[in-house]
Amino acid sequence: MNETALLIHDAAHRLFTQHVTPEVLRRAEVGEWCQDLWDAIDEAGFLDTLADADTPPDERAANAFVLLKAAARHLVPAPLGETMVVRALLAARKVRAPSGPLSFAVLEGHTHQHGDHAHLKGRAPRVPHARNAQSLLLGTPDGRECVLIATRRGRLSQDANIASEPRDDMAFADTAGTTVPGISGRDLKLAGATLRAIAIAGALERVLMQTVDYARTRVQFGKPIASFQAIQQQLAVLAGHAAAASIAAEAAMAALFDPNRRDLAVAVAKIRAGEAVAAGTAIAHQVHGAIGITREHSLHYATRRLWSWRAEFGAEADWAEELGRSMAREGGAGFWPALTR
Amino acid sequence: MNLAQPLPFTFNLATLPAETNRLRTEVRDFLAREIEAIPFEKRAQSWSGFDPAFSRKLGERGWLGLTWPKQYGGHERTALERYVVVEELLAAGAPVAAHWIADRQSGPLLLKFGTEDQRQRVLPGIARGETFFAIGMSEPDSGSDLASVRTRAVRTNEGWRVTGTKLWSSWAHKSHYMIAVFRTGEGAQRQAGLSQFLVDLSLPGIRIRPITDLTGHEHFNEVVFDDALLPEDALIGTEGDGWSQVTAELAYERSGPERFLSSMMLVRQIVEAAGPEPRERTAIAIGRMAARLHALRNLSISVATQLQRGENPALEASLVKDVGAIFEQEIPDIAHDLFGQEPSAASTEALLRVQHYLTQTAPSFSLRGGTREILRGIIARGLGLR
Ligand SMILES: Cc1cc2nc3c(=O)[nH]c(=O)nc-3n(C[C@H](O)[C@H](O)[C@H](O)COP(=O)(O)OP(=O)(O)OC[C@H]3O[C@@H](n4cnc5c(N)ncnc54)[C@H](O)[C@@H]3O)c2cc1C
Repeated sequence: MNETALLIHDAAHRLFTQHVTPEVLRRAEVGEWCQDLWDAIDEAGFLDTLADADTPPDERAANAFVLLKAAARHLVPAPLGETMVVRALLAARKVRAPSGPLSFAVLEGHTHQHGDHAHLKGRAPRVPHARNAQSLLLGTPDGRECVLIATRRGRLSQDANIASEPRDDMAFADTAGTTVPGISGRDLKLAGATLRAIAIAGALERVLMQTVDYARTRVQFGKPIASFQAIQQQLAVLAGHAAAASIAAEAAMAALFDPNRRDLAVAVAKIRAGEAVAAGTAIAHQVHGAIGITREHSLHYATRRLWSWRAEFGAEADWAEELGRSMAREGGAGFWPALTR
Repeated sequence: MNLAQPLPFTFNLATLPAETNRLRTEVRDFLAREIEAIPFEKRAQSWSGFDPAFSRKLGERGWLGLTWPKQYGGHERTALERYVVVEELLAAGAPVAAHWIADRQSGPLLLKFGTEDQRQRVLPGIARGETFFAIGMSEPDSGSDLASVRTRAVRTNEGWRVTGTKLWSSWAHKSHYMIAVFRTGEGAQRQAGLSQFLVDLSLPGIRIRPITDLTGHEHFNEVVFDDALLPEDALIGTEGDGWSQVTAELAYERSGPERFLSSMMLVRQIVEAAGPEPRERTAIAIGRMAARLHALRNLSISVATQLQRGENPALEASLVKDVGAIFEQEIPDIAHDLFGQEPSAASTEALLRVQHYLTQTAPSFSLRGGTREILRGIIARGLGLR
């Protein structure tokens, strides 16, 4: 970790430890917005971690990774990553970012230019935290520009993921917004997949720590269950998945703004992190026994998010098909050079 | 639960320095010339393919003993440069077994614990690709429980008298030396009283018998010491420190990319057989393989970077080896699942010949170098569970 990343790491954990209490998570679960937490994040200056033009791009990415993984360990119930990404994309195109939480999504529909304004028509399903976001950045997968639009200008139908995080459907009937040139819905999907891979990595680390703690304190047959080899071996497997998910997510973040490297790195991250979710959550619940499936116990705050994040911005099979096709085009002899490029 | 706490293991993304690009190209060009003619089922043997002439060529190129001091025939390059050379050799299925053990662990162990004379005597030959080493750890009654070894070395006026049997010693029948761990004393603890020795395998009283494996190949051996006399100066490091020295040796043995690249020839054949327009489930399988491999490689580069900095990533190496073995072992299954053809040594299809070999050898990937269960035990200890 570079020095700034280390400072961000410590500051983030301090802030999240203070503000993301079990009570905050419980309230988020029933749909309450965490304004105090958001204000603290904003004041700490975290929102421009990816946007800050004074920091070299690779350091920005490293800082963002550290921050977002910390946020995921604490399960920050707010669109921190989404806001950071939108602010970065806007800053790179000299568009002023609206204040407050922001989010983004891939648009099913079309955009067109009308005088100074861009117009949106269509729907954006399952937009992260749309109801809490001031504005949204939307674009079609193959479009040349995105549109920044105030959330209230679209029609919002509330929905949520498995962990009750807001995932709202948005509909737009020829609505006007600000054009943001040079970004496509594909860029947004890659960014979203990267955010979810990092989130999975952080939450899996939390699950690993929590499950190790539990195994060391839960006593059966007169000793901590951690002393049983079957439990030890399961937790070793969980550790391997957490490690692989984390480094893959870190690589995706590092490559996200490099057009030559990002498609491979992001696909790898979303696939590997998704696979880690399946194995990791199963082990964590198995080791926790019945208490782990109660509403009261906090394990599910992580595992239910993990099950959702695995599917968001493309499931493993989607990314694997895309990556597999591009690798197949390289042929047997080209596979390794493509992987190490 | 203190969420700010670091995990007991560290994997930070590391990028290979740009200088390694040229080296990688050089190695690829060399391999394109040297091994393109070797049939794929031979290349599938990877670091079990024994070819002294090839090892000598690597020595001539300066790619063995890469990181060692020049005074011992080394080239004083970085651990990351070594990483690049090694992964390219493995990915191409180069026959590297002859020098593999010597370059990977025996040489580094002697650099760390050997006497000046031992280093002078053997390191330059290793770096030239001419001196080969075997590992003498396991015995008939000591596998995972390495500390229980019984082969005994007794100090006498003439030197060390050794009696006992080492087992599964890869390539001992074609090697010049073995680094072996023997019992030299009685400690209250089993780990005490072990010492490491540099054994010249041509000495009288040492009988080496190859053991044929299930594929019909001969690579590992039984090595019987029948009152063999080793010179006084065969001792490596400190008498009685064998356990901690073996632990250091195992760290070299477990930390490299060979722990997840053993099935690369089959990965290549699967992609080849899939063709440029694979059906959906084949594309998905290839994408998943690529993802696992890419992540493993980044984990492994992170370990190499920690080694370069002089750190001791033993826990990290165990994690990579455990995750890596799962990957390597899955590949024959994936080939079976995608194509469902009968593996055959005589097939005209390279896929089926490679699959024929790797289907049979894959079980060893989670045994050699420490079993899956032992590695997971090490990881569990690192996690604070034991
Ligand atoms: C291809 C190959 C090459 C090899 N080359 C060499 C070499 O060059 N030099 C050398 O010294 N050795 C070599 N070995 C030996 C290797 O190190 C041993 O196979 C390994 O250490 C396991 O020992 P074992 O085979 O006696 O199995 P055992 O130790 O008998 O184990 C059998 C099974 O029991 C499990 N087990 C054992 N103890 C425990 C425990 N405490 N908890 C849970 N499960 C346990 C093991 O994981 C394994 O599944 C080689 C092995 C292979 C397969």
